[in-house]
Amino acid sequence: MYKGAQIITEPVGKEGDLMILNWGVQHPASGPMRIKVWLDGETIVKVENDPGYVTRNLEKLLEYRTWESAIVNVERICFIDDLGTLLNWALAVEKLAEIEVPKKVQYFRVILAEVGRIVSHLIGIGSMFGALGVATPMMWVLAIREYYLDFLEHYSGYRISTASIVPGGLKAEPTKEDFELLKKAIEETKKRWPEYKEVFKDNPTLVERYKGVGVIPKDLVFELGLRGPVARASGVDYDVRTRYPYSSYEDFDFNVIVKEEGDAYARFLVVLEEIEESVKIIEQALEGMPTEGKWKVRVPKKIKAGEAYSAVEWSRGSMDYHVISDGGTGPYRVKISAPSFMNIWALERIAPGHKLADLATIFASLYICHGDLDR
Amino acid sequence: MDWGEILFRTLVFPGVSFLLLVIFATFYLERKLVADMHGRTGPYYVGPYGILQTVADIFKILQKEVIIHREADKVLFLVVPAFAFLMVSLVAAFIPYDKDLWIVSTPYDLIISLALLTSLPAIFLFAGWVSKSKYPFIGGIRVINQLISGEIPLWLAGLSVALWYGTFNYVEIVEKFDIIGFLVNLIGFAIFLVAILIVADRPPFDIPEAEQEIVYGFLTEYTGLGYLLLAGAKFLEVFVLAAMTVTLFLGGFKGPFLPGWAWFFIKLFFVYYLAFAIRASTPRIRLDQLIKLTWKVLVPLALLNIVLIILLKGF
Amino acid sequence: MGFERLKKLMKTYFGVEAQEYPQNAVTKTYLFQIQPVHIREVAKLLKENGFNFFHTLSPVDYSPKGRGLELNYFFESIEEKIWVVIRTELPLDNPEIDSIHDIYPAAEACEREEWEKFGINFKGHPRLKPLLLDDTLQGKWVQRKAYVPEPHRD
Repeated sequence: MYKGAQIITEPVGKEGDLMILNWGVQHPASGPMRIKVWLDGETIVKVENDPGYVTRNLEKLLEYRTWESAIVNVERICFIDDLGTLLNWALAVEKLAEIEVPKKVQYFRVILAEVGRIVSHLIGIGSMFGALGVATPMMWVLAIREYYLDFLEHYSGYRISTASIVPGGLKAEPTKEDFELLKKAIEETKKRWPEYKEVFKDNPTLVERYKGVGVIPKDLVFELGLRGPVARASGVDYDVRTRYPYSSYEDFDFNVIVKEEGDAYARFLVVLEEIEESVKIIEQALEGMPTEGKWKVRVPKKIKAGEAYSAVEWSRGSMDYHVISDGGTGPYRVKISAPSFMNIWALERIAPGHKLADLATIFASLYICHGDLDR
Repeated sequence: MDWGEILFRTLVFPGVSFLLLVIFATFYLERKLVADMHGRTGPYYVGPYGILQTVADIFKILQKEVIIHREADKVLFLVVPAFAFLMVSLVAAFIPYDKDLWIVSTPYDLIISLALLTSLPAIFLFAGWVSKSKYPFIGGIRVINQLISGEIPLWLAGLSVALWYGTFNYVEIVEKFDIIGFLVNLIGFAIFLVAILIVADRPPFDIPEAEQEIVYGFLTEYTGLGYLLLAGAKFLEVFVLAAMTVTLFLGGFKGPFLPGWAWFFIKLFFVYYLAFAIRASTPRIRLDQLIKLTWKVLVPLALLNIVLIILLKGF
Repeated sequence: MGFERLKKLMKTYFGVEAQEYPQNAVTKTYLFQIQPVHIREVAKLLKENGFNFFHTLSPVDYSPKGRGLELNYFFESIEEKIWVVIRTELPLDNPEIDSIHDIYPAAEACEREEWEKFGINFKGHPRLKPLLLDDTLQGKWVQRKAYVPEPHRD
């Protein structure tokens, strides 16, 4: 029974002349989430998050799936980068079943995960500009993203939600044309990116709006358990790929982008520069791709009782699963610990004191995906 | 002019019908040019080159239900858009499209246009106020903040032209226009260009209707005809201000070979193109940054410009 | 070092041994099985010994297996690259445990989520109010095994 008590703003008592603004759910920049803002004129006094408008309770749904069919729910954590979440599921189940996949599968999974990261970061860059009311960068990055989606479409049959990584290997064998499409996408990125990057990075109005706004100090990162680009922009060198390498990430040579400033501009730069690193990784993986081994290893239908914890560096930060098996054909319980769910709480701490106009930029720079915030 | 001609000019060209056409044309032009800068095609399917897309959209908006917020002041809520449209259309009456192609021409054209334009922020604030809703209210407050700081440089830059040519009449200003006048007023031109972007809420100064911050500002609660009139008023405001720029600084209908009105529209297109290019490339700035810009840069510069023009005029 | 000291202190204060936890695919991890009443002291001890990064709180409902709720807290020491799992068990009817939100602010949202989904009462939590779930699902403790989702149609 929907009572509606959540939506109506309560009468203002002692807080006196403050205006309570419901920034969301139906707001062009909020996404499916309500941010309750107490305003003094144009200045933000207090902020309260109210997520939960796209909750699917995937953790419960996963209990009704088999080990392999669970990928359908896992990849829907966030549709923008579904490949990282799929990879983590495969790693968790392989850990439970104690099987190892061949090197070439690991390499191709790295390629897919990095493609997912590029696709997600491109949209992130576009929406960070979008928060300032200019749509041109979004259109430009979508044009690049299209090449990667072409590759995914040719490889898996779907542009988003590809269902391409399964426990024990890959859903399909990559063909020669797949690699060619991927190479074309890389080429196109390398051709266009230097120019785009210059335009994006040195845009004077963007610098004016993002620099010094929404500073997250290093302590706050540890305090709130912030992850991913948000943590790295505040000077915390935490990247699961290099810290605890998985799926052969130790074979590749790339930089972890760390900025010290911790403001919105630093977060923007981290996302911007990580795209190049991902391109580097894909190139190395394509070059060093082993040829021996199978594309899929058999995973038993029933996995013996036990538990596994695994984490990958997803595009928005470390994505952790705690998977428990009771010896059945599917998971007994899955806990999905999502980065956006941790990062969003930084907003309540850093937004007060800023102008209302900065709420959009801070929110965009926190790089939230509502899918994995609500799950 | 006899009564028939006055009636024709008021109702057909360059009066009401023409202004409606202007709204259609600028809307289409904006979509097409901005789409080009985005690397898209823009309107394509409706009519040749998608020309009729705007028509389709406007009729779609007209079909929408008119929703009036329960708390809103119903009469004012309905009247305000019409009033806004009327006030902007009045300014358009003074624009000379050609040597003798205008509706009204008085010795005080410039003063009257600027005074009429100054009434707009109050109307927009009212539109936000009578909506009795939070986002429109913030939008209305922002309009006042922005336009007070934007209109002072606009006035000062506009008046510097009148100072140089020694007249307020548009036609006379255009007649007296020459290359020296253009060069002398170059600083004023730059200030005026920035100021019209501020006054007309064009990006990067679209703060009162910043979509990502306050949804659509004072337009948020409007639907159907009311929305159309308010949005139309904003489009006309851009048109009027661009036409004023052309008249004051770029020599209006003056030019060789082609007829006067053709030159007028070529120059107008140039100003529009500039506004669209700025829109496609520049993120929005914050209100406090805008106020800093206007009061610390534009207003002192405009005052200095006036001093400069007085000195030059003296020699 | 931090972890060695923690191991010793856990032994002396609470009498629990560090067990290896090889199930964590990420890195070297140790497990401590503690009593629910000790959670705040343990959390303080962890914080003092360099386990400054709270990862997640993962409750598991073992009621079909004849046990209660199992709570797993995951912590990481950023300097030492060691993880620690704190495991404790609660009864299924009226599960109660102290909140650690003031020691680890990151845990606040996690505790709120698990209160909503499992019905675990975190004592001393400042805002145990609905977070993610719809109003129709409040109080049904959807993540427990006893709850069976209603289908959309027959």
